[in-house]
Order: sequence, then C-alpha cells, then structure tokens
Amino acid sequence: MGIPTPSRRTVLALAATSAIGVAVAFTGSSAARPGSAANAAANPFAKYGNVTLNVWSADNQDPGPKPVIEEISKQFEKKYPNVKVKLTFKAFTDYMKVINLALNGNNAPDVAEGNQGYGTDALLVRAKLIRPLDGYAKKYGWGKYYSAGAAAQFRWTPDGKTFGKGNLWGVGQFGQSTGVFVNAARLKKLGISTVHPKTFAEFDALVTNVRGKLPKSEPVITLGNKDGYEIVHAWGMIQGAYVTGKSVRDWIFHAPGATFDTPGNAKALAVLKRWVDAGVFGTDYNAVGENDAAAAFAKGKGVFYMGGNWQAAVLKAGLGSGLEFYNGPAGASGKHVAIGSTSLPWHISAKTKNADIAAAYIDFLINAKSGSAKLMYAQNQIPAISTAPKAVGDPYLSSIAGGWQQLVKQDGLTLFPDWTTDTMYTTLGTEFQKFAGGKESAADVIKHVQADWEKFDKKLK
Amino acid sequence: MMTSRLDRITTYVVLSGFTLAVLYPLLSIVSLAFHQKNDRVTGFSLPTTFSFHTFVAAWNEGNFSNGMLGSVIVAVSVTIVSAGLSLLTGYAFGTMHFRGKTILFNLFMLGLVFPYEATVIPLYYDFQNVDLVGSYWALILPQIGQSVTLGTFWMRAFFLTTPRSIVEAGRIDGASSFRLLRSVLFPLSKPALLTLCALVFMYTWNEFLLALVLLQGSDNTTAPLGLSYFAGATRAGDPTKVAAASVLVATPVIIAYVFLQRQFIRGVLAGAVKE
Amino acid sequence: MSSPEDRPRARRKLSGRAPGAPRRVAYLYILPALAFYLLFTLFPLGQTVKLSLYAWDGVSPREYVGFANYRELFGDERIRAGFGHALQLVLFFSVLSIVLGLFLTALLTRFPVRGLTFFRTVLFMPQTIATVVVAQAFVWWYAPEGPLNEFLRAIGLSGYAHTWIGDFDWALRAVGAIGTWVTFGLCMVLFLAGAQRIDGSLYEAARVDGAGAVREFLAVTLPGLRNELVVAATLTTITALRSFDLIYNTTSGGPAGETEVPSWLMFYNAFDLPHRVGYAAAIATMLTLTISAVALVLGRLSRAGE
Repeated sequence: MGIPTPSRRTVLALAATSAIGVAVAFTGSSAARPGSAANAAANPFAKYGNVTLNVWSADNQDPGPKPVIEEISKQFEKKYPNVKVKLTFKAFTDYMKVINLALNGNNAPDVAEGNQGYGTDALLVRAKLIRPLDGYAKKYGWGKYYSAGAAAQFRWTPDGKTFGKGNLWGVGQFGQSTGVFVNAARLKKLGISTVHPKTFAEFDALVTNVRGKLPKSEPVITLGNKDGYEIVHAWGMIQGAYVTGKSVRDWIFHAPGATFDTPGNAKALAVLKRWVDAGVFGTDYNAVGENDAAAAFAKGKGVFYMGGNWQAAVLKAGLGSGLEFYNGPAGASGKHVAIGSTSLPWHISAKTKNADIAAAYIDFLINAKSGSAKLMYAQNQIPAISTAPKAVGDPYLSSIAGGWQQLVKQDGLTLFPDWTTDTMYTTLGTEFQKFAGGKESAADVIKHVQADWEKFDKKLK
Repeated sequence: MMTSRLDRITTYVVLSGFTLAVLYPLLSIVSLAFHQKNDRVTGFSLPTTFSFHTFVAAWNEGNFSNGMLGSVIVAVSVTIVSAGLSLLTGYAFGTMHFRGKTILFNLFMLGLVFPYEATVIPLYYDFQNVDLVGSYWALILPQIGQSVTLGTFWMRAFFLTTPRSIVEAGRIDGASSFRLLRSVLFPLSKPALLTLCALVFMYTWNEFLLALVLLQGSDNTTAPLGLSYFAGATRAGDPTKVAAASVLVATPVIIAYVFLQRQFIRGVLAGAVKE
Repeated sequence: MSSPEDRPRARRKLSGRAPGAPRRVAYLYILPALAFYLLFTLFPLGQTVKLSLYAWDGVSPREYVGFANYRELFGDERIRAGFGHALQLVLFFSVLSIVLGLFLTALLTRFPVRGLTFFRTVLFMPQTIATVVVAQAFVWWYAPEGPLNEFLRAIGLSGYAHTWIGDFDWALRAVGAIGTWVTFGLCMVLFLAGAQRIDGSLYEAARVDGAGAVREFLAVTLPGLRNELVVAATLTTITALRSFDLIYNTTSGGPAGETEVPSWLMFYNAFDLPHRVGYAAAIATMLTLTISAVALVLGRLSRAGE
C-alpha cells in the first residue's frame, strides 16, 4: 500500500474518455431546483447564521465521484443559502494517513470520510473523533436505505473493538462491488456462445474452455496483482460459490468462533490454484498493477476481468459494446456472494458545532433523490442505497447497478476481508502472492491469515 | 609502464562497457520520453518523431510547476542558510581555540553518520503541533539541521588550510573576528563554498522521505514527491509521460553536475573520507 | 584535481591547534548552526527513542509500555526478514560495488588512460540523480516488455526473461543491482583518488621483484587503499541499510514482502493503517543502533591500520 498506486477504490482519471460518461449539464440540473428564496423560509438552519461546513473526501476521481459530490454540495448551498460547503479532496492513500490527525486537530473538518474496518474507522471511534449517527438515522430514515447486512459495515461499539454491532457511525454513498467483466465480442470470435453462465460450475468450465482456445501467451483472466490484492478480489468471487456473505462478514467482525479455516475457503483456494496452474492468469500478473491490468483488458488482452465496478468506465472506454458485466455466478446456494461495500463512509466530527447541518448534508449526499442518482450514473457511480432509482437506457450501466443491488438483496456482500485487522491488507496480499507463485500451500495461506486474525483478536479482548 | 597494445584496447573496451551500463538505463528512459503514448515501445525502439509533446503533457498533468517551484524554494533556502551557517562554524572550528571544541565538533560529526530516517516520526508530530505539516518550513528547517553537519566539516577543513599568517595578521591589525571573516577570508573561501552549495543543493533537491511524510495531505509538493505520485497514478495509462517527468525532475541537477562535476566529485569524496 | 586553496585536507587530526588565544566569540559563530542541528536533528532522534517505549496510535493518549515494542520486534518475523533483506542489499550496494570499483581502479592505474575525466564523470553520475528518478528508470528497464527483457530475447535468452521486480526470487536482487549501479562509480572514484597517493617507488620495487599486474595490485595497490576501502564500505553499507526511496518507488516492499526493509517497515507502521507509532519508533531506533555499530566497527578497522 506504500506506493501511491491507486487503491481499490480508485477509478482511473482515464475514465475521462469514458464512452458511457454522459456529459452532465450541471447548470441544467441545478436550475431545476426550486428557487432559493422559497426555501429560505423553510430553512431550519437559518438560526445558525452564516456557517461554513468543512468537508473532507478521498473520492477525488474526476470523472467519477468528485463531480457528483461537488454538484450535490452546490445544491445543498442553494437549499440552505446561509451554509457554505468547503470541499477538500485528497488522494486515497494520502488521505488515509492524515484523516485521524486532521479530525484530531484544531481545524478539524465538520464532515469527513473514514474507511471501514479496524485500520481507520475503529481508530476514529475509539479516539472519540467522530460521533454516532443513530439519532440522525432515525430522523432521515436511513434505516430504509441500507439492509441490515449492509449497514453492519458502519456499526461499532463505542470502544472501537466490536465491529458490525453497536452504534451507527457513518453512511456510504456509492455501491462498490466486484464482478465479472466479459469481452463478449472476443468470446464470440473464439466460437463460444455461452457468455453468461448460470452457475459457478458453468463459469469454471467456460474459463477452462477459453484457456484451451487462447494463445498460451495470453491470459484468460487479466489480473494486475502487483500490490498483491487484486487476486483476492477474483478469489472472493470463487469463494462466493462456496460460502455465505454472512460467514465472511462474521469473520471480518471478529464474531466469536469465526475462522478463516473453513472447508469453503479451502475449496475456493483449490479452484484458484487450479486456475493459476492452468495459466488462466498468464505469467506476469504479479508485475502488473491493478490499473495497468484494467488498461490492458480494455485494449483487448484476455477475455475476463474479475474486479471492481470502479473500473467500469475505463473498461467500457476501451471495449465499447463488446463488453458485458455480471456478478460472479452463484454456487449451489443459488445466491450471489462477492467482495463489495459502500464507498468510504461519511462521518461527522465530534468537534463540530454544526452537527445538525452536517447530518442534513450527509443525507443530501446519499439519498439519491431528485436527480442526484442521475448525477451519479452520469459519472459511472452506483448509488449505494436500496431505494435509489434504477439506471435506465444504458444496458451496461444497468447491469452494473443491478449487480450491486442483487448482492445487497441476496445479502451477498462479504465486505472487504482486509478490514479485519490493521495489517490484513498486506498479509492477504503477501499470502495470496506466495500461494499463486507456488511458494505456499492452501493450508499455509489459511494458517497465516488466521494467525494474523488471531493476533489482532487477542488485542480486542 | 609496460602495457601492450592489446592490453590497452581491452581496457578501453571494458571501460566503454561500464560507461554503457551506466548510460543505457538513463538513455532508455529519455528515449521512452520521446515516444508517443500509442507507440509500441520496446527496449530498442527509437522515437520516430521528435517532439516535446510528452514533456508538456507530463508537466501539466503532474502539476510539476508546483513541484519544481517547491523544490526550488526548499533547495535554495536550505543551501543558502546552511552554507552561511557553515561558513561561521567552519571559521570558528578552523581558526579559533576554545573550550569544548573537540566535543562540539564530534557532536556535529555524529550527524554525518546516523540515519535521519529515524527523526521523521517525531518531526511529523512536532510540526503537526505547531501547524507546520504541509508547509515548506517542515522541509527547510530539518534539512538545514542536517546540512550544517556536512557544511561544518567541509568549511572547517577549508579554514584549516588557510595560511595561518593571514589570520594572525588580521588579528594584529586589530580587526574584529567578523571583519576578518567578511573582508579577507570570505573571498578566499568562495570556491569551497561553491562546492558545498552544489552538494547541499543536490541532496536537498533529491530528498524524498521528508517530503513524503511532512507534506502529507497538503497541496504543496516537491519535484521528486510529485514524480512519485505522478508515476503511481500514470504509469498504467502512459509510461511515456512518467519517463518525461523523470527527465524533467533530474535535469536541474544533471545540468549543475555537468558544469560543476569536479566540485561534486570532490565534495562527495571529502564528505566520505571523514573518518 | 584542484588548487591547494580550495582543497581542504580532510585527514588532518581533529585537534589541530588553531592559532591565537582561546576565543569566546567562537561560541557565537557556532550557536546558530548548533541550534538548527540540535532542534531539528538530535532532539527528534531522542524523541524517537522515547516514543519507542510507548504504545501510541498518533491520536489517543500514549501508554508507556517499557520495552514491550522491542520484545515484539525481536519476535516479529516480518521485521526480522526486513533486516535480513537489508543485509542482502549490503552485498549489492557494498561488496559488489567495491569489487567493481577495485577492478576499474586496477584497469585505470596501469597506464595514463585518455578520457579519464569523461569516464569518471559518467560512472559517478548515478550518485547525483534523485533516487526517485533512478527508480522510475529501472522500473521501465525491468518491465515485462522493457529494455532488459527485450535485450535478453534479442540475444536468444528469452528463457531468462523475468518480471524482475515482480518476481519472488529476483525482486530483491533486481533492486540490489540498482544499488550497485548507483554506488560502484563512487567506489571507483574514491579508490582512484587513493591510488594517486600511493608512493610510486612501491610499484617500482614490486616490478624489480618481477611482480605481474595481479601481484602488483594485490601487494601494492590494495594495501595502499586500506583507508579508502573502509570509507567505501562504511558509506555504501549505510546507504544500503537506510535505503527507503528506492524500495518505496520500485517495489513498495513486494512482491509478497520480499523486499521489505527496516526503513520501509518503519514508515508503514507509523503512517499506514497500523498507526503504531511507538512500534515504528522502535524499528527506527534499532536501525539507528545497527548503523552506528557498523560505522563504529568499520571506523575502528581504519584506525587500527594507522
């Protein structure tokens, strides 16, 4: 994670050329908002006088989430003319190193994104830098926005030790999940008609079939594993065929008795190993970064890309209508399970004097009402909340938005496994790289990952 | 000397081999910088067109006007201040006699050895407390602290070589120590100071870890830090721009090196042969 | 190389007596530089040592834990591996560079080589280029389709093409080779300067004894370079042990932690997700101790020869 290569949440700036990015007429959408004079009368925050809301975000990709946040902020200022929103954007890796200090400092932002998991949010909760949002959740009806399984990623006990339960400390704006991108045009050229397999077994057979037809030098699944983590995304979809979303979340949350050492994980590792040995990922995947791999796939290298929907625009820009998307095919349970979560959760600083305004602002960001969903879709962002209007018109974007909603409905979001300890990001990366490289057995991976988990688990007791 | 013709030829061949080994990686990145994004670039391909397009694009997209300016601000301030301060310490250690001189000097020399990496954690939190994280002060102040150790060593060595008679003549004239320094010794010391400045400028320009840590979360940046971020974000899409940016960042020091190579080599050597 | 005025004689004894009576004004001259040095270098170093005795996430109150960080550090496989990697880097930055430097010195001192200044200038140049830039050049150099692999394929050795910095077995060696590239010119320049100081009559005596080029080098040049060898070893070893910029900008510790080194682990623990400032300070303290020990031992070695 050291080198500032873009993180799992990063959408390449390359998306500038996005084929599906509809140019958003900002002025058009905001002009449609009711006049500010009428609202001033109904402005419950008028009594606060002139207020500047300081907002920090790591969603700095443009095109992408940044213009969405900027535009919604403008709309908020229109609605509450005495409030000025001051936005500060920073790159993800940079942001995560400073956010705890920023919230602890004298000029702490009023609203800021954190990051789910024991690395960042646990610290913010434990150090009392952010405040619980349960009251606001009730006021704004956020309970309807997130399924119980999805909301668990924002819940902590006040000591920052128990994850998945307790107060609600944040809410997320965009849906970010992993799935299968298929170069369908290429599949057809190879003479294969199955584009959309119904079960994981079918998908597995398809992968094997494609391996036989591609030149040896070309991977079936284009993977960029330089940081060690992307193979975990791909693996999450294999794992999803054998385990439930809840069982993975329980492990991430350190629920009693949870373990990485499960038959499902062992089976999923065996499939991954079989793929690696068959050359499904090619040979140089450990030397290529996530974004390099996405760029290569967009240029026609490989047939599948198993990764985050945050790469959707880049891939589409390269492959156009030949590209299709679906969630990782389901296993015997018939339910789809994959790695995914909302985008970085919005928090309210414990130090702010304007918590009510901050909560109203956060509601504005997430509620996906009156055109803000359209704003998000135009930037290839998927609204996280269950009540969001569907994407219409573009089948590719609809399939990605639908993929997220399907995972939410089927309780199949496993969240991100690195959240479970403050070192798990590197541990998983290291272990999976060694596993893929033939340096370690599946049993070793399970042992070492679980050892990291247990070491941290002891600290929580 | 008894060397055969064959011997000599072999020597030049071997030397040229090493020279090539040093230059090839550098030249290949320069060559990459002159390629266009969509060229299929391999190890040997030469650019087909000559254009600075990639450099301009890298400069704009990587916000290098900011980084270069930051590096100039930091490197120039550190160089001037630490050269000035080192002139004073070198003068004292090289021409004067006082209690605790050896201990003080050894204290300075300690700074030449220990890894400044070990200071970066508390520096971050200290500067955080006084709201200097993210400002260029956070880079300038510690690097002056580091540079005066080399400077003291270097300028003392210079003053030890100045003829004692000059110093003593000055004293007999009743000149104050400062006037002696200003009007007699300072002009003499200019070549030594130039070498010191070249070295400090180079080290400061190239510095990375302090910038990485102490400019966190700020819009301020330096050329190497900007390059590091730019490379991380851009290599995937267009390696030619990263190559161009690398060339841009290296250029100021390489130009200085070409003109002042004697000073550079001498300075690094003397700094090395310190014991 | 230069005129006597601007060439300080570095080897003078520290206690060389300065002219004149004791002068209090000296303290005034030293004070400003000393203040910067104490405040921004030595004082933080002390703070690092102190921090290493605490558990601290950078935000919450600190908790004094005594030597717990150190106990954990010694048992931490990742840290031990990190110091091990640094030692392997020493082979590349120091041992290999010194061998190459000596070899070139032997070549260059046998007869007056034309263009010596040019060769010296070029071979020394990597020392002056920012490590971040060097890293970018070599990331390209080692890329799957980069110059090195293309070269290997062109000469029919495609079986030897690797992903280099992405390859478990090659990553550390590939990074180490960059270190050799950076430091061997420095070693050569050091040795050349030293060789010029060797008394010419020693060579004549060796020749009278009928010594060949190799014997001559072993019997005269090598012993004459004793000090320069120690200096080169100290300098390059410290560079290897400290290396951060290179790792951060090439492999970031990967693949699979194969190139993690102490300074990188310090940075990771302090400023990345673990937020373990005290633990990172303990790593920094251990690194400082290691480097001081190296400097001390090698320093002794040089003095023992005088």
